[in-house]
Amino acid sequence: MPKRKQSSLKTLLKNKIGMTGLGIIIFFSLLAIFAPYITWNDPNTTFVANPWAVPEWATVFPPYQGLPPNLELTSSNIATWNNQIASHSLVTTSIGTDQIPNSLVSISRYSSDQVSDKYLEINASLPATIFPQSVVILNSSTTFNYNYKPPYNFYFGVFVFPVKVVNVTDFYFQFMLKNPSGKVYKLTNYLIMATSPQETISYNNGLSLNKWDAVALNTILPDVNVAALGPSGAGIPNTGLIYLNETGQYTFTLQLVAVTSFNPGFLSVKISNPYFFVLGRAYGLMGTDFEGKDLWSQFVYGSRISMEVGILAGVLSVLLGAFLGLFAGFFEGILSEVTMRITDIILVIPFLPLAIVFVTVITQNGFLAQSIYFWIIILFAVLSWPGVTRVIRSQVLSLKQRGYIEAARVLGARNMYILRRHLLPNVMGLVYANLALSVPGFILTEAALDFLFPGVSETPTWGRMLSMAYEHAASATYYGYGWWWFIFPGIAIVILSLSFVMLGYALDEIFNPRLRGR
Amino acid sequence: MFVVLFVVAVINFIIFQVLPFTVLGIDPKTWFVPAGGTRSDVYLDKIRQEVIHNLGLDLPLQERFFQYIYAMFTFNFGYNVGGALDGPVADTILRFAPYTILLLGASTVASFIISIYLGIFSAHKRGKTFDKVSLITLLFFYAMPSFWIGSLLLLFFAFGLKWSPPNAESYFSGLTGLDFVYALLKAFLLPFFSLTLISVGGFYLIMRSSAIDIITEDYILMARAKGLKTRKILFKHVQKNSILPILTVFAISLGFVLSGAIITETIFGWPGLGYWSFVAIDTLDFPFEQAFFFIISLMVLVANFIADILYGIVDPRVRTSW
Repeated sequence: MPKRKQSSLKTLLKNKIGMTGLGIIIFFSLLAIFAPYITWNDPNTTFVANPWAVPEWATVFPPYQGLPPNLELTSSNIATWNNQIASHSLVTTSIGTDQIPNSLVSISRYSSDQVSDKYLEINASLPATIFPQSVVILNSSTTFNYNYKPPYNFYFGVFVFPVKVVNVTDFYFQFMLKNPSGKVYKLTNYLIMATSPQETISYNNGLSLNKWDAVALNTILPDVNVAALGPSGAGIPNTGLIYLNETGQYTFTLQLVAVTSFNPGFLSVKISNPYFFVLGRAYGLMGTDFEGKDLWSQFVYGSRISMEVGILAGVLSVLLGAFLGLFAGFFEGILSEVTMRITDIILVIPFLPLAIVFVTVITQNGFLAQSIYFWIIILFAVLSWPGVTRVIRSQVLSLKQRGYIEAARVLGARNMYILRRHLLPNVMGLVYANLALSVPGFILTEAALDFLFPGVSETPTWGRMLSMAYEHAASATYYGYGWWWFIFPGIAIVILSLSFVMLGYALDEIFNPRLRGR
Repeated sequence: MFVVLFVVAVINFIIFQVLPFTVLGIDPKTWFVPAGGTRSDVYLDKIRQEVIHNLGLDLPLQERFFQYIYAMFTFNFGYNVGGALDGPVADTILRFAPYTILLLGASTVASFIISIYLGIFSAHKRGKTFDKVSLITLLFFYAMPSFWIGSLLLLFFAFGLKWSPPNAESYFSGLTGLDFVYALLKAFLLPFFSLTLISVGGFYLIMRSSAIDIITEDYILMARAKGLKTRKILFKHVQKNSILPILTVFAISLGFVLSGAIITETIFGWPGLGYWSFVAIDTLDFPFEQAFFFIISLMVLVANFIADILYGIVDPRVRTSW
């Protein structure tokens, strides 16, 4: 036995088609296993880049040339900025270091190693005024070069730590951007921002004493757009197209503004990690979807479900089918007759319609819907063992007539012994081949079910990706219908299915030349 | 055959009656929203009661079973529920079946012809470039998910080039006469093309391998030695003999072809039975679904039967063994 096994393994290793198939299967298995290590984002995180970002490599093609990737345009270290104190008030600044809480890091879009522990402490004495008056205390600016096509959206903000606030009506931040031709855009507007329920920009609107907080703004939320562009700009989507529509040197300015009261006031604030972040229109290996989710990460995690459902359903159905086929072939009687009639019936039942109904019915029950893929595997196994049973049974029927079985019987071998030692080893090759050949059907059907029912689960799968791509294609005229979203999951399904077919044919050729006819 | 059909009906009963209501515990009273869902609660309750009574959901399980089997075999499928479709199920099926038959029939004939000719040529030129290219291409189509082919075609031809409408149903509904025929044909092309591509791969692979079997037979060598023209050999001797397996496979795969039609019809909005079965399942229209199922199974059985007869016609050797 061991010797024979080795020789068939060798034949397989020499079979080019089989090895190609096996190689592809191993590749996708590695993707599935190491998914967390080869992706950079959770597949369900939104806005990892701009929605409908093309894959980064697509920027070598003319229509996508010069599209910006995700860009961190300014330095996170406040000490390197040009910090100017307003001359007319009594202000002192100093640089210190402090630990920035991790919870803020994700808001700012810095990665944890980019965050600088440097802060700038500002101590300002404010004059008393009869009416509240806005006084610019600090003017921090930095310059950056922007050499891409304009982005759709960008994020900006700063971390702030109010230390002491005495007799100050309010203080807030103001952000400005000067483009290469000298035009200055005010990105924020106090009147709107101070009352916005979504944004924290002023002391009265969300900042608390002795705690690091993030003033985080972006052009995706409409109040920033409207505030920045004034009445005429209301309703303009993709504000990035306006602000960053030139290439060259930009100046990004951050102002700390205090509002005086009728007593002499004192303000002490630490600021740290100012940022200006452009959401890329080209991102990663496979771009992003309509919500800015990383498609590469969805693709990699999607391979898990395909492999899992395909292989588990294949193993289950082939085990069941092989077991029944062995017994139906070996013991001829009522039971095996019944088994074969059952195969007749199941082969008539249309597979996909039944699966569709099954998924719908299962999802009516919230508890069962949680483990939907488990039930899909069971359904696939139950519906597809008959084909295997037929093949195995016909093989067993022919093997039974061979001389060596007769000889074993004459020598007094029991049924179970013959089954185990003589029939099983001879059928195993066929079992492997059937296993490999049944998997693609399961992968395709599972993908089809996900395509038809994208809502049954949150798990990213290739079928679900294609379904979402199909759903949003009509509205994506402007983005080339999201072609990158369509192509990769489909190709992956085809290649993975084909690789199993290739492996199956190779195994079939090796183990059993002439039994596949119906 | 009747036994099989009976068992299919039993399975149907289990899926659509026992599983949802008895095992999963869907309450028949809140199971569906009847058509005209905005009307008063009293009215809705009355409709629900009527439907529940018609389906026999107020009867004990065993009585309902006999009623169900009787209804199935007398083709009395009851009424649609759920609001997506209205009226008797038999009517809706008869209304939408022509679209499916048109689509499936045309694409099956097309893929048959293409796969037969390509298969024979491939077998004739096996190992050469033509064979390799067509084998790889069609193997690719064979492994392509039907929804992917469908959506790619939709992307290029309907959205990109605008040659064809993205949704067939809304494109030709409401039109009459020649306008209707023109719109129908225009909307027909993409689903037709997509379904043909899906089914041509499998047929081709079988056709090619059986044609290779025949071509290597001695009598083909003999025919060649006789000086017969290649074309005559291929399309007289080889074609006739190698067409047999494809017929059986077609009968067996009819169920799968119909499955492919569900997805293709849904993608292109082609208002056939597949499309409506998908819409109907969304609203839990079980009466429609069970009828659809029953009919598919019936059709697969009938197709098997027809394939047996066809086999006899095409291959006289089988007839003598009957």
